[in-house]
Amino acid sequence: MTELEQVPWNEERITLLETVDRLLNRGVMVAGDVTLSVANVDLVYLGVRLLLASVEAARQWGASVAEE
Amino acid sequence: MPPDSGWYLYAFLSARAVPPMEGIDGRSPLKLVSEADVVALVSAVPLSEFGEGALRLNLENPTWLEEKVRRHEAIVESALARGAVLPMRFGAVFRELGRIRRLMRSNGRLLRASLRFLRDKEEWGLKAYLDRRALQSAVLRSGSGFADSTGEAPHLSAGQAFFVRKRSEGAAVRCARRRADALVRSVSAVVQQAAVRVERVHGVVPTGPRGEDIVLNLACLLTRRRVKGFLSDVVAPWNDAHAANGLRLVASGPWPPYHFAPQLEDA
Repeated sequence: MTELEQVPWNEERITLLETVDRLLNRGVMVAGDVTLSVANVDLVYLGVRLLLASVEAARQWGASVAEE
Repeated sequence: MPPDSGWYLYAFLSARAVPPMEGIDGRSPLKLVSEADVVALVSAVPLSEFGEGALRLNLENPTWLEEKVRRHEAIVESALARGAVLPMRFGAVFRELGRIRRLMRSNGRLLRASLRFLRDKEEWGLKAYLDRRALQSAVLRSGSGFADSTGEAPHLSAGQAFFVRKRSEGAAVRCARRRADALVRSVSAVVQQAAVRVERVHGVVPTGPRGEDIVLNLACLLTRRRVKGFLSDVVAPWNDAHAANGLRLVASGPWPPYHFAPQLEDA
């Protein structure tokens, strides 16, 4: 994780991650029962999973991303 | 609509305009549902992909999730360009349109008031990135007891000079921390002044694009006519003034007002 965090990522990636921050964790929610089929899924956790995948992808792009 | 379909809800809208694109499944048309003087933006989705079990599995797939997050966001941003929106959280799937209509009826007053309130406002993100090393160098450079002590004290042995330098570096680190805290507080105060409302963003990204610390991450609700001034009179001059301190502000937006959308009561 520490190693992954060293990898810079580009603006496009940041925008995606900012979108994930908002779209998965905020927005209109419905209090109460299970109208929403994902009501029981921890979307914050999923956001982190997506983040890690994004960082991993950035790492695989390699030097071109790191040089930006 | 086939029985193995559900309805994906993107947002509640003030304008009756359908964004010119397909729904989140990439096939089904977007559709407006009117109820209680509010409009809901929806599209049909196959339950084989968006049903409770399938969705749960798909949410674990980063490639799938990234594509859907992009589609969802593009649709809501397109709607935002035409009027006020109340964006739903990702993954709101209903089995029947009647359920959405009921939700709109029982929350009609709140939905209408929220849309009215947001009509002339925009959500903007504001992050402060801190390059700690740059700030410490700035503190050391600015002298006042933190200057390179070996140069000022030629009578010290190499060993003594090392400890003096270490001590002044430690003091520089503490001083840098205090300076960073003070800068962040001053930004927060300015933002509170300029914005209608401010919320803290709980971001999943641990660091900035170049490994900097994220020392501030805010969602600001700004009156639309104050946005330009906020960017040109607050953010830009602040960055010019503090570039040497390793601190920079980055604004993003306008976003759909995710941080300023209401919670609804279940119908």
